[in-house]
Amino acid sequence: MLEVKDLVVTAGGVRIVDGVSFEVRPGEVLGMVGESGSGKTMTMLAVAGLLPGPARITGGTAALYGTELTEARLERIRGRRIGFVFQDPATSLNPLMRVGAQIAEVLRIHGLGRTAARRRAVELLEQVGIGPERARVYPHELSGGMRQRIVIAMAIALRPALLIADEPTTALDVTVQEQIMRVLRAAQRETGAATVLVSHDLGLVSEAAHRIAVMYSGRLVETGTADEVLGAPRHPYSAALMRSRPRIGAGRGPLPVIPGHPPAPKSRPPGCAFHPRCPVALARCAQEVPPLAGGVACWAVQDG
Amino acid sequence: MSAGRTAPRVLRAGAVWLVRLVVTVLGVLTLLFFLLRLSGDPAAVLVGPGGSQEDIDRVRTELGLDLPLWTQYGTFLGDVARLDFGVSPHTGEPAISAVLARLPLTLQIVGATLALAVLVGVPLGMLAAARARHASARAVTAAASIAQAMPNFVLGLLLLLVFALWLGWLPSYGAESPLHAVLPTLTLAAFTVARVVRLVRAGLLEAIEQDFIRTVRAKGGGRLRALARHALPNAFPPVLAFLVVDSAYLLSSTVIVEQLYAYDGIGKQLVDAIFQRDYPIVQATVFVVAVLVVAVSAIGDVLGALVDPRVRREAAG
Repeated sequence: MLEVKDLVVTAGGVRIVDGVSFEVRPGEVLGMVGESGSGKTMTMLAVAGLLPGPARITGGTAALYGTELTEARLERIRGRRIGFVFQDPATSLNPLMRVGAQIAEVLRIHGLGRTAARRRAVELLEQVGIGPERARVYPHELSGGMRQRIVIAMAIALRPALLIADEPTTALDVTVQEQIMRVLRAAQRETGAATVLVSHDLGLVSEAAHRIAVMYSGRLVETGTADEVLGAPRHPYSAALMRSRPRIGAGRGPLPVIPGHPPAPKSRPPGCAFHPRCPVALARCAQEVPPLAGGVACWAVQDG
Repeated sequence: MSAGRTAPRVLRAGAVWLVRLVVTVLGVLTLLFFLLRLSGDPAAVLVGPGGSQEDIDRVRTELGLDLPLWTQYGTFLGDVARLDFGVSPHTGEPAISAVLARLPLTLQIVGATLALAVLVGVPLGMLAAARARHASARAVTAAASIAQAMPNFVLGLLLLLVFALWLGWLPSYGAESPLHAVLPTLTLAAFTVARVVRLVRAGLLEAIEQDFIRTVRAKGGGRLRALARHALPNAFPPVLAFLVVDSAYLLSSTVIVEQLYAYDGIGKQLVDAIFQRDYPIVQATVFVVAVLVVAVSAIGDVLGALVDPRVRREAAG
């Protein structure tokens, strides 16, 4: 069970994640969606304590089964209680190390002996659909999809309580995406991990997620079950996002787009960050940030 | 990757190396042969200023210098193939034996320099990268800049002054004991170690930004593991490439450094031979250095392939 409360991440004096709160229950998949730059990845990197150089957590807390995830604690439990699958499998493996050894490394770090780690690494390879003979190959000898299976094997090696998958299929061929999602969901079911699936791909999220959180400009704007958010989105941004998604049988004609661009965090407008692009914005929207209440952060919904 | 293909691959690499060795050595010696002929009449030099024209002609016939240039070149290549570079006119010793006798002293200071580069340069580079903002790291980086910028003859004189003259800790000239090798080694090593420190630091700072380092951290690996086990091997290829090129540079720097400390290696021998117009020694020295340089680059290739599996595959083509 992951509980995140009022998380703030600051980089260069700018809040790139601005007061985000959510929960993920054991066995549940939370789909975190939003355009690029909306802060989804930063939120999850912050939870795992993996923020890049200039970014820092400057507010809020994250707790896993009631224990607060401090930096010192994360150093001990990362890889064991928290598994992370990254976006680009081409760069997330060490090019100079055999893949079997890279899987075994996470087990060795958390106390397994050499032989036991090696044996378990082979089991994990089989679990993600790779023959044990591939343990001795190097990353460049594998396809992107195969490499991502290796990363997944590392992430689930110690049956983590929390599994974070950050755009796990974005860098892959469409034909491979489906397979990787199947491997990931099987791993998630097998480990029973609370899972956060970060993606800009609504189709992917709609198939895999039980609940959905929509982010815009570093803030959460809507949360709910997958059916609610995808079927009847309440926030104008979520609604626009759903409309702009290509669907089979939707007829010809251009896809509806959201006019304008998402703001960079440093030029985020006051009030609701979406109000300059919002078709139903009220005067109040430009002045006060709407709180997330009843699963939606929108004055027009809450007042209307 | 199969074992069956490994043997032919090694054989092929060996064959390529041999071809490279022959081509390089042949090229260097050919160049040297014609340059020496352009630099004046060796017979006149050997006879000396007081000799008559008859004396010069006699020496010329004895040495075969009256034959057509191409015939001389052919004879020269035949001699080289038998490792016969002639006899030093000053000592009467075969040139190649004279050079090989001095070679260990030179290899001692060049080898010690390379060892210092790895054993001192790499750890200091790691320190400079690991604590990039810390005062100790800044001091290391600054010291490396100074050492890198100082010409070796200036540094040599400085070390001589401080450690031999003022402090009297180390001998100032000669090559009788390992202690005599200390100052020449330090003089030679300053640039190399400094460059390695900077290359390791830059390589690590770049490698540490890579995604796979974040993966190591996500697996629960500490900063030290990420740096030493993952970033360092990835920062290694430029260091290796530098050390290979630098080995050739070090061998030629011995000409200056050995002269400075009257250290009896092949560098000093070469300088003496040039001043005495001792062509057999000059040619034998150039031959030995050319072979060494090609050998070092071959060792570099092997090490590079050991570190990086992608290079192995390219080599297999």
